[in-house]
Amino acid sequence: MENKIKICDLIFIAILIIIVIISSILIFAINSKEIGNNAKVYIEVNGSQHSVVPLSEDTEINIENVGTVIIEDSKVRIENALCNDKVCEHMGEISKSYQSIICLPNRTIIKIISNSEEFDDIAG
Amino acid sequence: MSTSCTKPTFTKDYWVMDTYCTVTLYEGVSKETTKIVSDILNDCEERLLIKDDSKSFFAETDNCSIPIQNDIYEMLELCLKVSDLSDGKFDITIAPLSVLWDIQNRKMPPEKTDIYEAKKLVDHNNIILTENSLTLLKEDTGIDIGAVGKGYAGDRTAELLKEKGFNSGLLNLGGNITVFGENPNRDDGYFIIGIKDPVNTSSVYASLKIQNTNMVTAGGYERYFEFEDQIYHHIIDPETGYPANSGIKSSTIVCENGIIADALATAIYVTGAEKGIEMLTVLKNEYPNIAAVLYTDDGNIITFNIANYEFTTYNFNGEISYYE
Repeated sequence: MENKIKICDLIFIAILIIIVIISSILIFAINSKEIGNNAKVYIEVNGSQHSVVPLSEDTEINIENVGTVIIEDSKVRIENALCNDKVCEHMGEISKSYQSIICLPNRTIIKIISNSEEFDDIAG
Repeated sequence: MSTSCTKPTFTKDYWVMDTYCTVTLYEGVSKETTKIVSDILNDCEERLLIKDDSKSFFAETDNCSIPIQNDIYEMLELCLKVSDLSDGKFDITIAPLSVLWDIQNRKMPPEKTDIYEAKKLVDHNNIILTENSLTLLKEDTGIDIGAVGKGYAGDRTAELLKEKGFNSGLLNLGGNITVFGENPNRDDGYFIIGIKDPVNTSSVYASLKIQNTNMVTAGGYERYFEFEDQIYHHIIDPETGYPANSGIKSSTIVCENGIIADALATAIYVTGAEKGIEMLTVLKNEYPNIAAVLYTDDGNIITFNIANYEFTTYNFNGEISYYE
């Protein structure tokens, strides 16, 4: 009898573990679909491509005569902007597909590219 | 006709009309498309230069006249209509004030007396408009069409692209959206356009589903300077001479006429919601599909006529009021 109970316990624990694993995979899959773990940050200066980096990797990119592009927790912003109007800094952080930071005086575009189908574009 | 995973066949960025424009076209794209689009955008830019190489025009004497083209006449006429509707809160004769404030370069607000003097020159009743001429009655008054230029360009660009045989497209002219034809990336052919959250700019607080129309958002959250812990943004109230403070953080308008969409987004940002709803109600007679989404300073949303646009909010906890 004692052995039987132990086997039942083991099966129960095994089922629990399987449920936990399946839920984790599901949660991970849903999350990565939402954020788009293949999203990239595209940077263009004066009409030519400066760099393309993954949105998921925290990094700082110094761009000569423009400022510092900071990627942190899958969000992008400009700091120490070297333009007069600072509109690019005021644009704040971006994190979604089709969002962009534009610096008109320095002809700089920073935009997020992913295959998200949530929006076709963003106004404002 | 539509399939769910067709990719856009043409997407290109242009720096034109003092802003950044992205043009997306889905059909009929060829090697010449880049050039065709850039010619159209450059043509819009040129038409918007109403005097010499400038989007603004100042009267050097009383009764100062310049010749204008027919579509600029139509644009100015719509501007005057919004000026009247808004009791002068939207005014293209704002030029003396906008030059004084020069938000791009300023680090502190102008002197009170200068604001007072500039304010006296702002009055849309000083404009005499005929089909081929624009007259300013008073010396030193001026007009600035910067506030509606993108709206005009959206309409004209979409029109010319259709004439060139492009059946569908999405234009983003410095944040102003114009869509025409069917979106091949969605089964129903509509475009879903998000609206930037004015407080937390990395988010979108709402979206609308649109087709063959324009969507414009006005707000003071990007172009501003800070002085002594106070924010001074670029949308000036002609009545006070200071940046508008009407209780609205961002004002989004959908209208089949891009000039009305552009002018009204700014107008409502200045007048506030109550007068805004009144103006929308009047304009609905002429533009039955006109719609608005306003984000207020206290974190609530006010909507007008959005029933047909599948209005959706994202992580929004405030109150939503609906007007028809």
